[in-house]
Amino acid sequence: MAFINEFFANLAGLGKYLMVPLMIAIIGILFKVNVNKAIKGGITVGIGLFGLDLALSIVSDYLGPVANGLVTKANLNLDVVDVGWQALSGIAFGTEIGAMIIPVMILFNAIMLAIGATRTMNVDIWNFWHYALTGSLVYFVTNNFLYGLLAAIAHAAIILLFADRTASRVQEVTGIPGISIPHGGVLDQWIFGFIMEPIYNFIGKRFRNDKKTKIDNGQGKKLQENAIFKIIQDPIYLGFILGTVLGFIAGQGAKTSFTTGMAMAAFLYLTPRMVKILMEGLLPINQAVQKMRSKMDGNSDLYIGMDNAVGLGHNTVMLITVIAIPILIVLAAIVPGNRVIPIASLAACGYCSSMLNVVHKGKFGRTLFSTTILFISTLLIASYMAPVITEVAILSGFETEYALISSLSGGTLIAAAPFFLAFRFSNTVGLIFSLIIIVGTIVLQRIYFKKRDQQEETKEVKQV
Amino acid sequence: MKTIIIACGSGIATSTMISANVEEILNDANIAHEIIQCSIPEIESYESRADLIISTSQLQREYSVPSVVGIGFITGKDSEEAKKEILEILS
Repeated sequence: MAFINEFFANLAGLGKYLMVPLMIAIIGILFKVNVNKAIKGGITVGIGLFGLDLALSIVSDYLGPVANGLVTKANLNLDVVDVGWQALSGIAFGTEIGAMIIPVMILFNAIMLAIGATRTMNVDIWNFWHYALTGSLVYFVTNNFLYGLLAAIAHAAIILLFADRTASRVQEVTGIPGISIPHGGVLDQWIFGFIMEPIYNFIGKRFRNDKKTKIDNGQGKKLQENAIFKIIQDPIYLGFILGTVLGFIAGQGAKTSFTTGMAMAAFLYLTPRMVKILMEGLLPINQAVQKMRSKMDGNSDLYIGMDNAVGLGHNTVMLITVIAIPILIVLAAIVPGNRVIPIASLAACGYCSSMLNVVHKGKFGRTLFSTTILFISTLLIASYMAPVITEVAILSGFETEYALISSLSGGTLIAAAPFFLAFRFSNTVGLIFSLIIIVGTIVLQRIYFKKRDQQEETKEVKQV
Repeated sequence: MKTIIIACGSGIATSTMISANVEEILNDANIAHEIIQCSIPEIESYESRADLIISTSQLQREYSVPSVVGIGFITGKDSEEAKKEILEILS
């Protein structure tokens, strides 16, 4: 145990700019990627990390002071800058846990498949950053690498459980056959959605007939074409307007306020491009994993794990993607205890509703209401976790003097918080909590699949 | 020279993977090309100079150029059909 911890402490001593590219190159070679491509991939990931830090420096240089002004001059308790899931993913991949997460998760998934505890083959290696974040937070609080990995694995286990059990519903709503969504950031949406759905059903039955809950194509289209919504959906305008307005609210002069607008537009425009570079570096490994998968395609029973973005194209979600922007801004201003200024996540509101929409089977009113309630809890948890996220970011090399950072999108913070809290309470509690989730998932899933297979067999016998 | 828009939810993750597949197909078929990667709402701003749109989900509106759903390249199902469709449109 001590040996492993020491090894990773040494590895981390290299700093993320060396550690992560090195790991990515080694993993690539292990997955039989052409050596040239593997090394280039590693370096590309390093470039992405540099790029992301450059983009993030805008936050501490320009947005941090404005956030301070909001507190001191405007008496608003908003001192946390929302950097969005894109930045969060880069931070998570930049830690020791992040460097190891890809092989660990592929191995864990393979074991789960082999022992019949899941039918989902999660090849979406990009989204392993969610587990890396959970692991990094736990590693941060315990200083123990293995605890971090264990928490990451427990997070992944519960996600596989939900992915398997929601697969048919996902396929029905998205219209894509053979998939499931083992996405680390949608745990909150599953749990919350399945709590609310029976309540809605009850209310629906009692008080009104539930006919006109699905929206037609036209409504979504009209709103998408609306000039105002077109503008606020565009990160360039959104950033500029929001930054400028915040500058003025924070009591800055015209020049500083407009500069803040420019800075925010730059931040929103640059961050996704930097993350894309990171993604390009991971591509060779991703393709190698896909090839391995296609060899196993004989088993048609497997679900292919996808990003929750596959749910974004649904009419209801497209509509909420725009409506949610003003809702989130208003909530941030009025929810007591919130400290986060929504910025980078505003453009990603669709992600926060895409699986709620699956649970509510495309019903607009239900999805919107659930999304709104979920936003409130997200604001509070993102506020609460901000100091820790900032610490982890600083440890992985991000320099900040002014700004506290956090993220409203990504959904991972809600899933990561229980593990973080358990381990912070005590190592034993965290350990037991994680193990219960892993073992519980395995047991429940094996029973579930056994039952399902038996049912299918009896069905077949009857048909014969 | 053919210009192809490849669009997904954020213009970051899924579209990068589809791009890699499409790149391979077009290189094999010797079709000179330029790929523009973007999010679905951004399609419009590139539409006028494109020959084809490949998206991750069924598009909710009509564009002036033909479109293909490319999710098969990720799931592995129906990817041959999508490939055929793409080559047909571009040749």
